[in-house]
Amino acid sequence: MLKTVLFTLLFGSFAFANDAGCGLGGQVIKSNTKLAQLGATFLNSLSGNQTFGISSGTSGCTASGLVKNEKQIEYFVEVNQEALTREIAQGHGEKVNTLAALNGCATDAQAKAFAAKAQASFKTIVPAANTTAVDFVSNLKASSVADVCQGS
Amino acid sequence: MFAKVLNFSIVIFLLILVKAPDIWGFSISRTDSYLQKARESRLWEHPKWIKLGHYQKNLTGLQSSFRGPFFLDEKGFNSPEAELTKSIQVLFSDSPEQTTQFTRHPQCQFLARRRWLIKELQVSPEDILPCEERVQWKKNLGATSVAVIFASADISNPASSFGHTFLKLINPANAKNKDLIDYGVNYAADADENDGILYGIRGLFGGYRGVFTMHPYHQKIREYINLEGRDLTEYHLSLTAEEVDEMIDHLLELERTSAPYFFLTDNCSYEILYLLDIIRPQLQLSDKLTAWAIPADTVKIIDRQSGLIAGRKFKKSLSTDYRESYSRLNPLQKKALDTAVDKLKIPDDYELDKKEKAEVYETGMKYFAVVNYRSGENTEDKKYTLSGMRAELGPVTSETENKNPLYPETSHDSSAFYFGGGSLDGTGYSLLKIRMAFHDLEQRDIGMVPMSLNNVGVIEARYYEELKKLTLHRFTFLNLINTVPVTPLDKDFSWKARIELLDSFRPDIEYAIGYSFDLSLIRNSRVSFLMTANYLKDLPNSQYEHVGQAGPEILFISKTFERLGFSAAIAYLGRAQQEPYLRFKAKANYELRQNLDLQLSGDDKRDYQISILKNFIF
Repeated sequence: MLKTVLFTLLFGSFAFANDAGCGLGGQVIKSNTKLAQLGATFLNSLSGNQTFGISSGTSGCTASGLVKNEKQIEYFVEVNQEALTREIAQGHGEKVNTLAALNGCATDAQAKAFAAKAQASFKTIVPAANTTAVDFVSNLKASSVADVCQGS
Repeated sequence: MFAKVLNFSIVIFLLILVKAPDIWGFSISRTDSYLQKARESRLWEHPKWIKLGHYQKNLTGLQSSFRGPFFLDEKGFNSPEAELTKSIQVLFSDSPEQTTQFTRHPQCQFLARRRWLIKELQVSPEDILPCEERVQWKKNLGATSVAVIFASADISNPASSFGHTFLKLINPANAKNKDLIDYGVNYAADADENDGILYGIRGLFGGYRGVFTMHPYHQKIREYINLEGRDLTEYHLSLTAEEVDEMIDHLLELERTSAPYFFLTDNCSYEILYLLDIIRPQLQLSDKLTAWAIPADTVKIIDRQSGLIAGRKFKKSLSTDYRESYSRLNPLQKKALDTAVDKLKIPDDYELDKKEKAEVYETGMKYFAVVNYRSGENTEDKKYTLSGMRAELGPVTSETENKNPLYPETSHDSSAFYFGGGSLDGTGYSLLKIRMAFHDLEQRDIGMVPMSLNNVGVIEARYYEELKKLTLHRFTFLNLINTVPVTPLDKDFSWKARIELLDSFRPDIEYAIGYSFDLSLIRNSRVSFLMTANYLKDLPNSQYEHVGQAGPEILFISKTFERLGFSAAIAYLGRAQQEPYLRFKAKANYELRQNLDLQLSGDDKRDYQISILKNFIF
């Protein structure tokens, strides 16, 4: 038992430190059964894997319930990939504006330039329907979309 | 190897942090003087202390519904005095035992209590710990203002009309396009869906624990905006940064605790009002709810405090976005969309320009997203194909403005008194009716599921003047009507469900299912074709005591004029051993001003009625 605890203490943080993303997984994808809907309606119930408190959340990208600064983009993409893909395809939207801001775009004009460049690079950023969030983020960098507002 | 060493050093560093309070010099004599001061002024009776402990009056005295390590004294949950004494003792001394329990000194665990005690007892600076870890955490969070978020009704689910509220902690650094990475704080039931039928019952009677949780705002709203199709309204509050800091301090105190979650009373909305009361006791918002806490009503309670709401913002749900996109398409685009979701491409023979094509693909993408969220059907590949087609067309569309969003605080209050009179088959009566909740079919739809009925707990009493007889005419447990219009892409069912008790305890139960269509010729009008089944226990002296009847029904609802709502239902019902007959009912509602309506109704039993409705918050 003690061995397990120590092992988790020592290596636990490293399990996430590679390129495995934020490890949100099932936390993001909530079931939508009739019963779950009823729960959402009447109880506003938590979705099981969400039951952490104010400052005790842990995933590969959070510490004490807060998303680490350097992991903001990864975390955001992992949660919102579906909407982001749609918004990049259409070239505008609240999520893509947020992604632009997280990549350093401060003005509306910059955000617009980011969205346009992302749209033009759609097939590079999202090469397939099952592109993972980790690939999504690295493709953003590879296609230099992430750099649109850097150093300006 | 390096990793191991690094981790070891982190562990050791953490151990040192935990031990840190030992070096601070608390003194027994000072702590005793604080206790003395508290006793002299009977500080435990102070309204702020009562609020901080979530104490409420019940038959035996004061008691808090929260349990667990939130109370330092074992009798703390029902003794504000014992808790205050223990708090002073523990917060202003070394308290190694509690420090181990909380992994930090209790003073840094109970920040809101500490804040208030320091002020009230003029605690010496020597007794105040720096709590660096907490200070740093709050700095990282960076919240200086707060918004109450209201999640409105899910269009396909009238029971969700009650809505949901939660908080958004706002960091001013995120103001420009980054507010989605702010944090949302939610009070919700830690429920287990596997409980099946018990699930609802436990929810109503406090069988689950309510806990506070915090997540990035984008993650929190994703559930509502995408999954449940609920529009959101953010109400930004005019609290000071100091008050927000105190609220966060108190939320941190509540982290390891929970209270029974009651769907109707001690729910998300109640706790949010309570949080506001803690930081501004003079508001007394939670006291304004005497019977139950309906989220839609709590938004109104906040709104009616002058100056408390500094601004509001509307975020539409995915399904609202989809419906709006669809309604903007011209007839040819709609045809193209129908083909595109099937063939995953707009055929070349459609004469649409680039922008028109882009709008079709965008609507198609949203359609597949809605289908995926609603039914769980895997639409990834189809959506991806349309997304690729759309991206190729380039930047030809732009964001559409929200067209006059309807803010939920402008909807009518959910409870109502009805006063009026009528005539039943020639016999006059006066009428008094009370509706616990929530909305009549013909009332104005602002902030409600459009063209829906949601009545819970309605008592109708009548006094027949000629007969000098007072009767409890009808008690409605539940009466729901949900109409969802069929479009070429969406073919959802519409349905009715009604459970009532008539005078002499005669049940009247009805269920119907069918399809609805929006009329193109009459604005804001809908017709539903339903199959209706009804069971009714008739009066003891009638020929047949138990009546089961069924047949087709047509329901027409019109909201063509802003303040006037109208409905008419005609059913052809067959009964055992009797001739089929036509059942008819019509009703009109005119909004005189907000929360005051005039209603007229009539049916095939020659029951004609006129009443005035006063809507209010119970």
